[in-house]
Amino acid sequence: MPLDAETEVGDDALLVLYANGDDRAARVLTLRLTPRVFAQAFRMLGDRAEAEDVAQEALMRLWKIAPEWRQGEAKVTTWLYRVVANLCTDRLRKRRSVGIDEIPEPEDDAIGPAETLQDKARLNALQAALNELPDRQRQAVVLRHIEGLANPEIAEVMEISVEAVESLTARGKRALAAGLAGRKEELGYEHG
Amino acid sequence: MNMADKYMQDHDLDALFAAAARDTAQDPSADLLARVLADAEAVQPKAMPIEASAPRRGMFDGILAVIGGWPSLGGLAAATVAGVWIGFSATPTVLPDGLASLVGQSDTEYLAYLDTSYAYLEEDVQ
Repeated sequence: MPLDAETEVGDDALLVLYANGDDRAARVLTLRLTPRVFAQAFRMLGDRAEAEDVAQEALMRLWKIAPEWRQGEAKVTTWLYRVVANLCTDRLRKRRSVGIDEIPEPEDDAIGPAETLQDKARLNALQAALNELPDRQRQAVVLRHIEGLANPEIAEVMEISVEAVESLTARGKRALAAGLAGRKEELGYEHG
Repeated sequence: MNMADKYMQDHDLDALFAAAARDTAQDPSADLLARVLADAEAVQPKAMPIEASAPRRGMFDGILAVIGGWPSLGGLAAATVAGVWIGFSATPTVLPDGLASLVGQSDTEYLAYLDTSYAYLEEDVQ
């Protein structure tokens, strides 16, 4: 069975194959999970290099726990999002404790093929506004609005109630709207 | 300035989130993918090799295992030797004339000792 074509093979089934020594499962899981883990870390930390370290560390923990993974008990991605969230929180806390309050400016200036300068400016502005949010709000907003998770799954990732998730995302979204308000014209949002 | 002017519109923010979700800046680099895969392969449990089948055990090994191995076999041998010794040493009781008489006597006498139903043969001889 060509695993690469079998997108319907669940993450947990692949993890069991991985634990049994199947090297194709290692490749498929790497290609499938790394983008999601890295995106979450990148949006949380606003820094590519740090996000790469977190993604690598989170996946290393997954590889190590694979032999004990119990199929059907937890979703692999939910488990990973939680590990990434905790690793990011630790890094953000460390930043503050050593007095590096300023979060690196989004440094990625490469313009993708479908992007305009304005798109890039808008995305950088969004990242800068995300960086200003309290950690928990940022986590909830990133998981809900960028990673597209449903509230119950975010609740599981963050180990809080669904109501608490709703409250965090609502407050986070309001804070983002306020944070971006000053740059509306600059970013080309002229109406309203 | 009303609230709508002050804040960003909801649909603009939603469009921005959607753009962020598609943003190629958050794609992992090839270098990161290679590092992650190298980690995965480094800590991956190795597939269990199919073990060579154990050498076939003969019937003697099977019997030996049933009786409890070599120590039991030693005990069994000692008991056998003791049985033979007892057999020979007890012949004056079992065979009044001794084992030699049994071996040396005629066949009919030998049979008579084994089973009294053969005793008539001995009487005939006498």
